[in-house]
Amino acid sequence: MLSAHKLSKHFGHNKIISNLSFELKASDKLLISGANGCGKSTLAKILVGVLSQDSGAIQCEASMGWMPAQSESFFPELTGIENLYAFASFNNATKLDVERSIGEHSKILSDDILNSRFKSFSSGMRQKLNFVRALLHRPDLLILDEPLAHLDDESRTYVISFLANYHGGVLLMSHFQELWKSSNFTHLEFGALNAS
Amino acid sequence: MLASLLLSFFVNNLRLSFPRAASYLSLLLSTFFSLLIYYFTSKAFAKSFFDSESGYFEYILVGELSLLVVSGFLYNSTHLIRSWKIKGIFDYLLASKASNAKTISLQLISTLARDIGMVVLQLVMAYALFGLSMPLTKIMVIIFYPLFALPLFLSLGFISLSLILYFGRGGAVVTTLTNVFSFLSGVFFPISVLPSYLHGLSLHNPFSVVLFPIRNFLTHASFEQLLIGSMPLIYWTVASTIIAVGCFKISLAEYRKDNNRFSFDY
Repeated sequence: MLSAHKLSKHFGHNKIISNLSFELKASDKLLISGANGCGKSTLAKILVGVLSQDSGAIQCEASMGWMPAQSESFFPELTGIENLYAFASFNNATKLDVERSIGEHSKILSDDILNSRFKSFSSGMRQKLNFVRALLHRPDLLILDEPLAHLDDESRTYVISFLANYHGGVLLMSHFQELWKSSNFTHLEFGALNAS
Repeated sequence: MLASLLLSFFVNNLRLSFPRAASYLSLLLSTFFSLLIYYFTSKAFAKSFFDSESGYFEYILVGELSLLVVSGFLYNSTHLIRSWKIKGIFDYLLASKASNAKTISLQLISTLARDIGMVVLQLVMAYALFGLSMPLTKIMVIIFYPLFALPLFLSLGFISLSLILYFGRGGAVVTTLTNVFSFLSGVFFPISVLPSYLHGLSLHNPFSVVLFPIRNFLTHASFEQLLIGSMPLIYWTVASTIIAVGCFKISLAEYRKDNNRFSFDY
């Protein structure tokens, strides 16, 4: 479904990714962890097409959903539900897809999130909306950057359980590796992957 | 979904521009005082350029209003890229299936209704409070002719935001160029007062190709001449669209190499 072959990326003299290769099959669940600044977010951005790699190749036959680490990437004057409708069209999702997602994730999408303007959201509320936005078009592959950041315990449990049972592949970058231990995620250290 | 996205952008812009009811009052007051400045400027200097005070007042108003909507595209494009980059919306757009150019164009077009509303408001106030008297056909030309220039200014907007994407800065350059174009096209004064070596530039810049046909129509020309006068606008539109497509592609490729080198200079 997704394969990366000998990816390399540098910013100035700083080499962030060096000859990185891996393969993700349909419904594989892969957790990549590593220290701050090691290049996890850069890798995610390359995989989704925000950044270009200096060398190497990426092959992907699946539709992708991206949850960026930057959870403020919404329109500040729109409410949560208005934002979901706006971003649905970014990925050809329909109004029905939005309504289905709201129903499906009602445990984390409170009325406050849906009906208040985004600019008034707390970090946790932003992160929940960010999570649901990635799922609107039911992608075959989810690429999630720190999906548990800012979430309370209950919401973290919900997200972990949802992703463990997700129908498609999941590639996530997270610091909270201990929280994923009980799930079916294969764990890889970014350093080891990068050196491979 | 395109219409729905356009509506979302429109609502977001409207709430940003007018966060509370008092913002509308502020708009009314600032419009009134702008008109007051034009009115007394025309009273003071009309005889230098025109036979009557009202002629010069009309001249200033036409210059201001004809360019209000289209120049907004230039300012809005640089604002858009800055704001979307800071919030991360631009990166999200790059990662999505949506056409980058189409989505950015929709966001720029979503400001149209608000800007046309501001043109209409100024005309209504000028009529009601400052004695502007102009036939309806002329009013319609002032409001709608600039819409033909939207493709030109949309592409100029793309060139501007490409500049910012490529260099990671450049907002001040775009603002300066906009002011230079305003100056050269004689928004507030006849270009005959400019030194002769500037006349060529006055005739051939993006603001003039919108403003001059309108001014000619309002003073003496017919609709036929208005259409003939639109030819430079068409040439400019074709040329700038070609340049904009190239610039946007190159700048996106550059942005994808390193999207963390942004330093906004205004």
